[in-house]
Amino acid sequence: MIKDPSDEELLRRFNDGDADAFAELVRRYERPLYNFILRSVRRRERADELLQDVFMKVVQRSQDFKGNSKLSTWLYTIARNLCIDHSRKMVFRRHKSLDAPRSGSGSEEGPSLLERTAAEGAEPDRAMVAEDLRKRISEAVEELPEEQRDVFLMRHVQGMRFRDIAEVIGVPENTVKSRMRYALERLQRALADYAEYVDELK
Amino acid sequence: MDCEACTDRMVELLYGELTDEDAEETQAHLDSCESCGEAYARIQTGQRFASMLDLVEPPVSVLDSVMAAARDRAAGRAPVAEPAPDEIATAPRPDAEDEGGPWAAFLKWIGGFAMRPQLAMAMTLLLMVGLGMWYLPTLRENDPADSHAIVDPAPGDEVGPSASLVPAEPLDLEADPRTGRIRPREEGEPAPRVAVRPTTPPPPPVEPAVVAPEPEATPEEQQQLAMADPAPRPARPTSGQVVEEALPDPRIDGELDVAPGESALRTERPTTQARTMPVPAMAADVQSGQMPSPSPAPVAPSPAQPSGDATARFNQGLQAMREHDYRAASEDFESVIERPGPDTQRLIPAALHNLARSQRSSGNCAAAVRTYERLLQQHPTYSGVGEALIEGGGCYQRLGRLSDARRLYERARSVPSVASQANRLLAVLAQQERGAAREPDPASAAAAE
Repeated sequence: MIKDPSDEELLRRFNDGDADAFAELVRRYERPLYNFILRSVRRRERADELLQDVFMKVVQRSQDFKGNSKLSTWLYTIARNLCIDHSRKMVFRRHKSLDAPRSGSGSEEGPSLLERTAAEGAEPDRAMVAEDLRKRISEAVEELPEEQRDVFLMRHVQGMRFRDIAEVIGVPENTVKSRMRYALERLQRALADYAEYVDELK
Repeated sequence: MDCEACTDRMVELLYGELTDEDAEETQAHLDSCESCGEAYARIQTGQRFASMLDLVEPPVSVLDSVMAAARDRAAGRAPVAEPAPDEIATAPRPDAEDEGGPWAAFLKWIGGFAMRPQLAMAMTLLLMVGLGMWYLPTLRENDPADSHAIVDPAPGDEVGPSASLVPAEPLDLEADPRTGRIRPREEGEPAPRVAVRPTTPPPPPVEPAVVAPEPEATPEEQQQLAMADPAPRPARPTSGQVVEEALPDPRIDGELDVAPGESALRTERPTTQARTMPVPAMAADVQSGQMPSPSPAPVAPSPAQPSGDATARFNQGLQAMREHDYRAASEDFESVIERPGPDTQRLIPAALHNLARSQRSSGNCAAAVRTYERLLQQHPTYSGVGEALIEGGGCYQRLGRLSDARRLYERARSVPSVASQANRLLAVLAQQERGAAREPDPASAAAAE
């Protein structure tokens, strides 16, 4: 069995002129990176642009990667920096469309979901509960404080280890683990209405 | 193993990053310690939710341009493959040193240093300091009166800066060489070289927490506001809220792969305290079903208020809170409360709660306690009552109304989610009350005499 080349090996090949190696890197990372960015900036069109920006920077700066850390940490450092720059811009230029319902979830803030599932009093349809829960999870993740959300997403969409996340963010590993714990507690609290439903799925 | 060590390891246990030995030890503690066991169960539930997070597929063609650029770049570097002519025409040449020889490579190397942001910043600082050191002695030598005006102000000099924050009209002044003081310049005299600067330091920047009082605030409220603790409010820990310490940046310049756009000296982006602020009261009070009483909102909605529905205004208020624009947030929530849409009555309790938090965060505790009281009175079954009781009690405490704070904290003891916090706060309050009692009361002292 042939072992898949590592990310770092693929980047080295790209630097040597192998465009297919870059395509393989894109294949490996575009989905998790896209979800990381989308949950951070919440708007699909911005996420599309930022995903392009991340990979464009990789194309332009691939030789800057020294290889003394993992490629994934480098990619997420780029992505996170771009997201932070974007959110800073949004703070200064309060964007009208941020007030609109989010494109990511396509729904409004919590009340309507809870209302649909809980307020009627009737036994809610399970498929509807599942659908609502998915939306609520997306929203709850997007509502996490930024520093918790970054950690949470790197862990859950990319499966990064805590020490690698610590390297991306530039904080001690213990801080990363604390943030992860806080994020999970927050999710548990935000979605407490669905705990029974999830327990039944177990 | 103690509870603290167990807490530190919980997440690693959950994600399978502990060694077998550590995992066993941690699990043993969890089995034997009820509170740690419960905490672990909570994050397990959180993880179950997390694992259900949908992953969105990126659009198919979104990376077409990137792939084209990658092909161009790879073709430009490829040692053997000859790139197609049109690709070369459209793609920038990535390697200048390949064409320009060693001189171009050297320039690029130097440019790499010169363009680093931290170096640019250091150069700017050096330039400013250097200019200052060159300019000030020149100033003192050539124009002693002016330098006196800067470093040695004469008391009672009428050109001292006004205490008012309103910028004054520029004064037509000059230094009198005989007295070393400033006098109005007469017509026809040449203008002085250096503008006279204020002789006292500028007023400290206004804390965001005590920005201009609410328009409806009475003088009494403004006084209370001025007495209130001026520390910014957003990071005030409330139940379940996380305040994380600022941490040093462990990154070492030059040893790590620095991402494009990232300064090597970059610390973590400022963890704005509001980032740790919980996005409050998202959930509407679905249990309550109460209609809000038609009492008038404190402030009429601004004419600039968008005419969208109440949900949009509510969301806008939330966004304003995230951006620390508490005045805008207050206006948004007030407009939701005053003009709820046909299907948005359920937003009222959450809007009241957020309004109170915005008022509290902007330092207006007097208004905040009124809003908290209104929320507690009109929506006793609202799901965030516990938090509202705790927060309202805190506001009363800051206003010095200890008996009102006690009333809310005691009520909070009956809410399970905040009961332990309420007990702690009551203990602190009791100390505060004892301290207040020990202080000599002027009225009773006068009576004793």
